[in-house]
Amino acid sequence: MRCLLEIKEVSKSFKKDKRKVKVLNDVSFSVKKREFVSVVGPSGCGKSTLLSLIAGFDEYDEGNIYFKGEKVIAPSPERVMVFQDFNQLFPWKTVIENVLFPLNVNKKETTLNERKDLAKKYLKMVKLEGYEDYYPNEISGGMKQRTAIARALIMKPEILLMDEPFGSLDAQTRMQLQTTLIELLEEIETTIVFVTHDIEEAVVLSDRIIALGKSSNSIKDVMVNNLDRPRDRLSNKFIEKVKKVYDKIKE
Amino acid sequence: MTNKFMDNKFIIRLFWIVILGIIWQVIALSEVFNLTSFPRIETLLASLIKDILNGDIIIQTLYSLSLIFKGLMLGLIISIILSGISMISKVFEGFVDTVIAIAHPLPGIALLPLVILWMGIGERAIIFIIVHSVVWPLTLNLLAGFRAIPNIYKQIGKNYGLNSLKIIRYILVPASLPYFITGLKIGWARAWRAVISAEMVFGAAGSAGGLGWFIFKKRVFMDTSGLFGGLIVIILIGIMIEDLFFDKFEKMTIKKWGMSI
Ligand SMILES: Nc1ncnc2c1ncn2[C@@H]1O[C@H](COP(=O)(O)OP(=O)(O)OP(=O)(O)O)[C@@H](O)[C@H]1O
Ligand SMILES: [Mg+2]
Repeated sequence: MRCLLEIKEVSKSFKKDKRKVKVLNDVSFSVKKREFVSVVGPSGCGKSTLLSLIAGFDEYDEGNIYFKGEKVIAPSPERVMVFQDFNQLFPWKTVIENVLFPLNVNKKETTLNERKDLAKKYLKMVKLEGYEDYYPNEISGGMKQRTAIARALIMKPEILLMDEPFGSLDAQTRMQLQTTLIELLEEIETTIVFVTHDIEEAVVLSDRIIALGKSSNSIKDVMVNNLDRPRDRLSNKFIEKVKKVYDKIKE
Repeated sequence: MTNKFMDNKFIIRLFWIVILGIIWQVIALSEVFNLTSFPRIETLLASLIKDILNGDIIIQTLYSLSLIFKGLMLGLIISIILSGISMISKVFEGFVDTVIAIAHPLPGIALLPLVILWMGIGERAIIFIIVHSVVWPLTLNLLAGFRAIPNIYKQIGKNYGLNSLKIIRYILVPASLPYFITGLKIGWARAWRAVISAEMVFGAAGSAGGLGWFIFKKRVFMDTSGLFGGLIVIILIGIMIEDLFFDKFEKMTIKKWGMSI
């Protein structure tokens, strides 16, 4: 059986002052349907670059990325990205209008009322009931990220690409959002590639952790994480796992 | 209580206008200047009311405003086209940049002699001057607005399956609204001054000559109070558009959304 997402020997460089700087070198891995994969690694190792290649925002130099067996050449609503930037919501739209946006512009064969009900359902799932009519500048960073997740999920993407979505939040809010995301996964069937540099976050969320190295610009290690869910951050097993991952990615 | 009172922008305005009015009246009453060239406030207001009642000043004002409206609309369309094509084509971007560099520093009024030579005197010439005053600052601001749009917005647009036209319509246009408003404010301010100046030079081509012509006529007939009446109307309209209309519009949109630049 083919995997949902296959990344095969992908390399990518950027031009900097007429010099080519390699950012990703020969990266290969696959993601199965309904799998939660985290990508960790030091700042600047190419995590965001990798994710935007999968999203189709950028072109890769070598190798191939296959999604459902087809080569990725452009962005698609089947592969939706959630960014770290709070600015990803449109400030001129309310929370519910932001969530409705992908549905409205794609003019699915549903009435506006059906779409609104759907948006409300998703906002409820991310725990934003009652904030439908707020503008983004009237809600907190955590609420903005919740809205962005609802907006991404309403498209029913096959795969959700998340680039440090909780990276700019304080520790407590980050944990709340991690909990919400875990709860969401019980309701929604989706596959996730999740970039983070927070090891604990990767261990709490994912089935598999891929470590990228900065010096090699490639995969250093792939770790399976089969801790029982729900995961208890204070349990010995959890702490051991976090330590193990730390040791593996140290450079 | 006093704090709340002083916080109100409108009341502060009114307060200082009253103070300035009193100073004016004191100077007028002292008769340092000739009363015909520095009339008392009540003479001034009486003359303004007379011109309002006989309809003259209203017709002239409406005429000036209709010219501005036509010029603004035309300028708006041209600006959108110019900035739109600049965003699509690098070659055209260079062209538009060059044209702006040449035309933007030219005051509309400096173009008047040339415009008269080209199209004679009349409505078309005035509208040309208005379009000239509006189109360059507006295009500059629209371009700045388009360029300032975070890349993330375009990525999101593509991600959700929007084509280029839909990205422009649903993302680029609203995202550049703050710059659009700034451009429109500058454009309006310039157009309003340009139209008054142009009318003073052109005079009545048709039945109405506009506010500029109204003032010019008053000077010719040495009607100083009438002249001041015209100036007061110009000031009032300026305040109404700049302080009330644009302010309200910003409060309803970009200020509410936290998008001001
Ligand atoms: N558009 C670009 N042009 C040139 N260089 C780039 C570009 N985008 C990224 N890079 C470079 O590629 C490298 C990897 O960047 P990337 O954003 O993928 O890192 P990251 O792993 O996501 O880091 P962080 O954890 O800080 O977000 C960096 O050295 C960066 O300077
Ligand atoms: Mg990054």
